Amino acid sequence: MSLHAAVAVERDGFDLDVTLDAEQGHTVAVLGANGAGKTTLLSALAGLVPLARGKVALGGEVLDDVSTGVHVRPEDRPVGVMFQDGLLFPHLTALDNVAFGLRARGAGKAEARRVAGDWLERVGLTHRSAARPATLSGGEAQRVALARALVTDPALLLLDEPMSALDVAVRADTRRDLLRHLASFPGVRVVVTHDPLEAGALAERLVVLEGGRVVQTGTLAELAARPRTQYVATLAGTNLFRGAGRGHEIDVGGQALVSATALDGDVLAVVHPRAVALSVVHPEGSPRNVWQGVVEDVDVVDDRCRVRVGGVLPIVAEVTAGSVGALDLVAGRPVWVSVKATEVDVYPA
Amino acid sequence: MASRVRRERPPLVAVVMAALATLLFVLPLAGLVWRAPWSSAWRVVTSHDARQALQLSLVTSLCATALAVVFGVPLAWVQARVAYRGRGVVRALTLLPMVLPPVVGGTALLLALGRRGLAGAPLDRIGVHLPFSTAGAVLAEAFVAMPFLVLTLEAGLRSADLRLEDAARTLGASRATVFRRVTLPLIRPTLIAGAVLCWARALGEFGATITFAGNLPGRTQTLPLFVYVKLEGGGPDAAIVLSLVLVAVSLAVLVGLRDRWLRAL
Repeated sequence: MSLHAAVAVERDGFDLDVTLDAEQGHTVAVLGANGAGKTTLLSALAGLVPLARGKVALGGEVLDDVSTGVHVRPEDRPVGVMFQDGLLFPHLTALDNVAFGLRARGAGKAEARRVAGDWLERVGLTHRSAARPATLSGGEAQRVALARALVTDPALLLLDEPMSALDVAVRADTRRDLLRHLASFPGVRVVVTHDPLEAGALAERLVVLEGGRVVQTGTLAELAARPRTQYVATLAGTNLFRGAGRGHEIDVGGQALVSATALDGDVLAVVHPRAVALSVVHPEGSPRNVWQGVVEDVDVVDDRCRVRVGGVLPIVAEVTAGSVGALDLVAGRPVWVSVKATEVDVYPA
Repeated sequence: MASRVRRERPPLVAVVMAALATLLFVLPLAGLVWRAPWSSAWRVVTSHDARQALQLSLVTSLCATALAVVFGVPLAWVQARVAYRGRGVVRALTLLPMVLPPVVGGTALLLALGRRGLAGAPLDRIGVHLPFSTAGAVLAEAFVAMPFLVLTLEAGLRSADLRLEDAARTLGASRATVFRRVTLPLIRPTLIAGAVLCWARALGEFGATITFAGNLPGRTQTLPLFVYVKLEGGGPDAAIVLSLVLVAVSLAVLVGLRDRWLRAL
C-alpha cells in the first residue's frame, strides 16, 4: 500500500510540479517555507484540488490520472487528513467530531460513537468527550483531530503542520505522543511542515520543496551535510557557496575559496559556522582562507552566538558569547574571517 | 505613577446633528403613542375587520418567507460558492427589489404576471390567476422581502470557513452530506436572522401588494393596506392602534436580532 504521486498543479499563478513516493509504514516529511507549495501538495493528494498533469496511485489504486481522466473524489479516497489547528467542527462535541467520519460513511449513531469513544481513549481524552472544540486546549484539539483522521482506517495519513498551532512548551510532549501514534499506524504517512526539527523528529526521509519544486531529498543529517540550495543550508544552519571549481580553488563570485578537496566544474561548498574563526587583527596562521568583512548581526542561540559577517564573501560564524564580548563584535565592526581549507567540504552541484 | 485617561468632550456640532437625527426617528413613534386611543385599543384590535387583516397578513408573510427560504437558500449558495460569468449582474438583479420603489415592483409584477403579461398570459390560459389574489399578495411580499434573506445568507456563506467543508469531505462526506451536516448547522444563526428579517419586511409590504394583488378585504387586504384604508376612510383610531401593532412587531424583531443581524451583514 505505497504511495506514488507525480503531481502538477496550477493555481492562481503558482505552479507545483512534484514527484513523491512513500512506503507503507514509513513517514515522509515535506519541508518548505510558506508559499513553497506544501499545502497545495497535500490538497492534491487528498483530492481537494484538480491536477493539471500527473498521477496519484495508492497501493495500486489510481486516485488521480489526468491522462485517462480519472479523479476519485475526496470523500471516496482512503485518505485521512490531520489539519493545522485541528479544524474541528465547532458545532459538534469532541466525540461527535471523531465519529463524523464513520457516520458520513453510513455507520449508525450509536456504533459510530462507540468506536469514536475507543479512539478518544487511545489518545487519552475520554474525559473530554462531551467538550466543544472551543473549550479544548491546542494539544487536546490536535489529539482529537488525529483520532478523527484515523477512525476511518485510512491507507494514507496526511498531516498539515501538526505542531505549528501549539505552544512551544507543549511541543516536545506532543511530538512524542504523535510519534507513538504514528508508529502504530500501518499506512503511509506524509507530514508537511516548515520546521526542520519537526520534520527530522517525525520522519525518516525529508523532501525539501522550494518554489513548487523538489530541490533535495534525504535524511536530516544528509541535508545538513550536503545542502543543495541556500534554503536547505539555512534550514540546516550552515554556510553554502556555489562557484566554479578549478583544482583546490573555487571561484565564488570574485573571491576564491581554498579547499582540501580538489574538484573541477560547477561545485557547491559547505562550511559549518563552527569552523569559521573571527579575529580583529589579520590572522597569521595556517588557515588558507582569510578575508576581511564587517559584522552585520549577532544572534544568540542557546549559549552560542551566530555572527553574520558581510562584505566581499558573506558568511555566518558560530562563536562563544565570551568571544563576542572580548572582541567587541557589534554591528559595523570590521573583522577578519579565517576558515581552514580542510573545513571546506566540496561536492558537485 | 497613576495614569489618567482623559475623556475628550465630543464636538458640539456632531452632538446637535445626531440629536436632531434621533428626533427624526423618535418623533413619528412618539406621535403614534401620544394619539393612541388606549381605552378602545382592545376593541379595535379584536374587531372583525382588523382580525381578518391581521390573520391574512400573518398567513401571507409566513408563506412569502417560506417561498423565500426555499428559493433563496439555493440562490445564496450558488452566488456565494459558484464562480460564473455574470454573477455580479445576477446579484444586482436579485437585490434590485431592495432599492426599487415597491409600487414600481408591483407594477412590474403586474406586467409580467398579469392576465396579458409576459408569463401571465400562458398562466392565465391554464387557469392560474395571480393578480388580485391571496397568492398574488404572497408573491408580491416575497418579491420585496427575499433579497433580505439572500443578502444575509450569501454574506454568511462567504465568510464561512471552507476548510471545514474540505475537512468533512476528506472524512468521507459527500457534498450533500457536507451541506446538511456542516454548512447548514454553521449558518443556522444567519439563516434564522435572514428569515426573520425577510418575514418582517414581508409583513410590512404595502406598495407592491396593493398594485399587484389589490385591496380586497379578506383576500389581499393585509394589515398595512387596512391601516391605509382606515386612515383615508375616517377611522383613525383603528389605523393608529394597528400601526402600533406593526411598530411593536418591527421593534421586537430588531431588538431580538441586534447582534446576529449586525454580525451577519
